[in-house]
Amino acid sequence: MRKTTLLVLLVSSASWAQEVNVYTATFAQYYKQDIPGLERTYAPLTQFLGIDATKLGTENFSLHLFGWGNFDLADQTRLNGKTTGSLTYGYARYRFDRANGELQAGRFAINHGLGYEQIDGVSGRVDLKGGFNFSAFGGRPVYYDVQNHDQQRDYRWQRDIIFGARLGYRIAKMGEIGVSFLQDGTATSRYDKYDNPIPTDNPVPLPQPRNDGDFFYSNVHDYRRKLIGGDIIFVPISRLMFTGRTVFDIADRTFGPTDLDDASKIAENDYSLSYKFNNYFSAKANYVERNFQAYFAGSNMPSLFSTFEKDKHRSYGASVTYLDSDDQDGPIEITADYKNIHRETFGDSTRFGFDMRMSHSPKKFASGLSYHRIKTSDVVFVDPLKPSYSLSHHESRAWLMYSSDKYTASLDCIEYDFDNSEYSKEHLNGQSKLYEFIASVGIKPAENLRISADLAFGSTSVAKNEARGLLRVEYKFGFAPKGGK
Amino acid sequence: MARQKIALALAGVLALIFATACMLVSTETSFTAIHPMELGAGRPDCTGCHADEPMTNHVRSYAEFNHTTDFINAHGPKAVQYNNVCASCHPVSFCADCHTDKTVLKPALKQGNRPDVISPHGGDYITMHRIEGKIDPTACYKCHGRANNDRCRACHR
Repeated sequence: MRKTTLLVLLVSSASWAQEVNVYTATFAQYYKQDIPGLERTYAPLTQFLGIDATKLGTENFSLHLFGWGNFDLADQTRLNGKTTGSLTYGYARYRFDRANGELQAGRFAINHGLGYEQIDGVSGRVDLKGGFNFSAFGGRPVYYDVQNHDQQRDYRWQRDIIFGARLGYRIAKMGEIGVSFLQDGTATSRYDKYDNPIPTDNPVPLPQPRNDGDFFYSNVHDYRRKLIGGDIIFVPISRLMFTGRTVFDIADRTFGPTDLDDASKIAENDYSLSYKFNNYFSAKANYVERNFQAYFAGSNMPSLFSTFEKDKHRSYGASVTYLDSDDQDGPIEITADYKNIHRETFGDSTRFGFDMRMSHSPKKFASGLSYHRIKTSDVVFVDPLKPSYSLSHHESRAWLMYSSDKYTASLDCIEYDFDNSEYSKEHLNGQSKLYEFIASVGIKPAENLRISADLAFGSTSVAKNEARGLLRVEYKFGFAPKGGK
Repeated sequence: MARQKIALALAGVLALIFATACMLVSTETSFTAIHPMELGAGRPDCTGCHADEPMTNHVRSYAEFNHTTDFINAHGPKAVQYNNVCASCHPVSFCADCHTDKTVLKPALKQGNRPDVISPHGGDYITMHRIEGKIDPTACYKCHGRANNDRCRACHR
């Protein structure tokens, strides 16, 4: 009811706006999967609607709304049944003429230095004197229903409120540094280790996880999160840029397994250095470190992102890019990249290759070509007959696109070629290569209307053959080109 | 009488805080709501025109907003925290071309007619996510760790 009221309020208030942008897109899909022993047909219909209404009464007041609905004309492809839908965002915003001041209220996505959250609440930011700026937000996190409510019944209870803030300091012509804080949830678990309710006025500490190998699904998972972080951007000259952030998990996690007592409290270190040598060549280097227990804090999928795992990820990589923006036919961009990834419980993996994209014939044609080699450690089994298998593979992609004022057409092909026959037999229906081929044609019958149809073929680990048809109808009203008055 | 004094004192303190806060706010003009010049097709290179302005009073750095491949791959925090910069050229719903909650359509499928757009999860991602998740699950977490969408729920409960 609240969602419907909000929706009606937002849509009706858009009529007051002096400028309204409307975006609608309808996707009708039909696809068949040839699964060994089973053939399936799906026909989902998906509708997106977005409205940006600006200058509502004053120049600075605006409303923004976006949501989608899905209806399956064949099987129930969605777990929620034939009909599903969601309000992605719906909020009012007021921009101040001075100090980059801004206030938002409603449902929106938020990031003030830490996390990336969808909330129902308010947020604001402002520049202060002396080079400082401040932003803050507060509200309730938007809940996502979980598969089994009983297994995660504390999820909604514990995530009762979310709030955070960031204070930044800009050093003229040098960069900016910032410190930020985020707290998601204040309530402790409602249940003790015997599944008995804990009285709300009784400050009982969180219970110990049951040591029965099933604690991921028990009621003792802690969905609370408390983070502090620091971020930096350093741009002494426009050619050189250094960015990064360090995030600490400061929540009290005394309930966890004792062997995680000494797990690092550093959730993340992520630092990048980029340099533009001249108009054509640039390079970037990146270092990332993440500790699982701290980084995954608050995940609502603990079976996948486990905070009971003392694991660690560390990666470093570099890329070199050649970009010729002045070419008469259009830009040409070639990037060569290398990345080494280390996961403590798995081993080392490397990914290297290139990506090339270019335009031809004054931007009407565009094409791209890429290749990457992914070399991984072996997955080890406790099976003398099959002690391990490799995930190493080659990834290749080629695409071509034509776009004129009236028509569009494109071809896109991607292929994965796996090294190891054991992996192919067990996980890829015995195939050593997987591919997907998409052909698309489109027409623009009116300035605001685009209609396109895709036809795709492929082989996957689920279906040896898959054919898919997609019809796309997009209508955009009131959208101005990039910039300009 | 005592209550009146407390209320007066409280009001005085609040007024002082408000006045101090107002004095702290910058008097600089906000970043432009609309980029004054219409930009051409393709990815904009901000430093092409703003090369001598590595830092202004309003945005951190024009270089930071050049639409390079690196920028597109790591634009998230900037786009949310400095959405006023993005909004000078893009309507808000532009973001939803890729970012919708619960991922009802994977971006590469939704934009199957735009292979030039960098979209995550091209090809058979049911297969590939098992491998990429094994190599580095933290890469999945950034977008899917707290957005328990239907597709994830089919297997991960």
